[in-house]
Amino acid sequence: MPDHDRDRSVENVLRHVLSDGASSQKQSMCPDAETIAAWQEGALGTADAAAMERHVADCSRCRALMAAFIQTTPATPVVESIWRRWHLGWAVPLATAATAAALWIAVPRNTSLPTPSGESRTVSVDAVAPAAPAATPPSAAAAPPALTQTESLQVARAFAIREKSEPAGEQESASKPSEDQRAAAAALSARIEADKREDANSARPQGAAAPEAAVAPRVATVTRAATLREEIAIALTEIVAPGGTARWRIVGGRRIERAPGPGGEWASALIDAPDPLTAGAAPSATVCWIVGRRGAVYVTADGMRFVRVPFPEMSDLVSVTATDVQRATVSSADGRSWTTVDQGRTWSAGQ
Amino acid sequence: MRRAVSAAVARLTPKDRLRLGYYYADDLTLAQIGRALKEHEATVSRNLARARRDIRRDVERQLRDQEHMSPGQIHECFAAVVDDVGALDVADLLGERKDSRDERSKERPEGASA
Repeated sequence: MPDHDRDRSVENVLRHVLSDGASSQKQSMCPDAETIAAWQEGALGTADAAAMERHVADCSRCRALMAAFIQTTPATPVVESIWRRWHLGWAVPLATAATAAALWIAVPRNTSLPTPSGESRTVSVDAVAPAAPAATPPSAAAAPPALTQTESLQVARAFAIREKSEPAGEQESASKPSEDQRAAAAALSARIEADKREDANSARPQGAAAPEAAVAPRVATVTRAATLREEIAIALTEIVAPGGTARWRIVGGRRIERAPGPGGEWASALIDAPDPLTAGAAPSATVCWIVGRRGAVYVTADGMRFVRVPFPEMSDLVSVTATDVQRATVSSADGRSWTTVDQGRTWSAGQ
Repeated sequence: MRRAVSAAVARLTPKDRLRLGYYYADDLTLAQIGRALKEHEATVSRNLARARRDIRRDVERQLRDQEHMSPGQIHECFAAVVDDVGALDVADLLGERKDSRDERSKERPEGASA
């Protein structure tokens, strides 16, 4: 058997082995949200970062949490100032020193210059220096501000607290964001509103003369925060059956996991979801409806195997309520709703 | 086989285990792993390929030295899981996981099998 076939065998076993890594770590050993967020931002010391890396490498729960973070954070290429690159770091003090030396040589400290009127005046180096233009790295003004560490912590806390909390006794059949999700969303909403107010305030005194480019980075931040909020909401959606007899959660927007009642272990359900999933509803411990973007509707009758339900529109569906495996009502992002009483064979709009 | 792979994974560095977990269990792309670990995508690919090769050699050694298997038996062990890990492999039952694997086949780590 060639080596590459053996590598394929290793890959198959790896998927299995690495997915089952949760049991090797006790949840009580998992780091708190602040530590996770600090690690993600590179704010931990070397020893702490190494300890975090060791833990996350062996704890599939924390690793999945980090993976969800990574998947829901849009890629923002960092444009590094040329002056900040390590191999040019020496150039800044050297250039400063050279400029100072050149000025010191070229301009004597006290030089009497003849004026047109024949009088003399004194020109000093101190008077020349401020005339030099201030060097500003071009990327500093252009880069949109990132979310602050506090906001990252809030989001991380929402993830962590949700993982630790047990929704025992919940009676809701339709999915809805938990307190922690709402806290994370509220934190980001507050940031967005603050940004909007700041934009309004900064634009007012400058009036029409305010350059559009100055507002653009803020707009980019607001857009990014809104996207992040939406994607985090998707990543965190948890659906609880009446009485808490079963739970489902949307992981990474495209996977579904199910846990049998409070404290039960999460297991992957069978679903083929090419489009992001957004919400779900569970009228019983085995029946769960899931909706997603581009008219995605799924239902399971045994709790684990989801089948795609025909849906007439390509609308982005954002919520669903269900009474059993046959009857459900779905709603789209633009406020429309459809109801089925025969597991999606027919849909009636606006009911 | 599974026990041997688990033991081999445990002997890797934490960063290697993290990289493998992100790729094989969490289905992150090479670019996403690179972003998380502050590595270039190509570096992630090379390190994944190296880690997988290390695991294969470690497993071969374990089967030979600890399980006293002949080359033929070792061959059979690898062949048995080349397409299917077994009835317990829920992951292989998941269509979405296979789909995502297919999608990501374009960006397989260097030296990965077809």
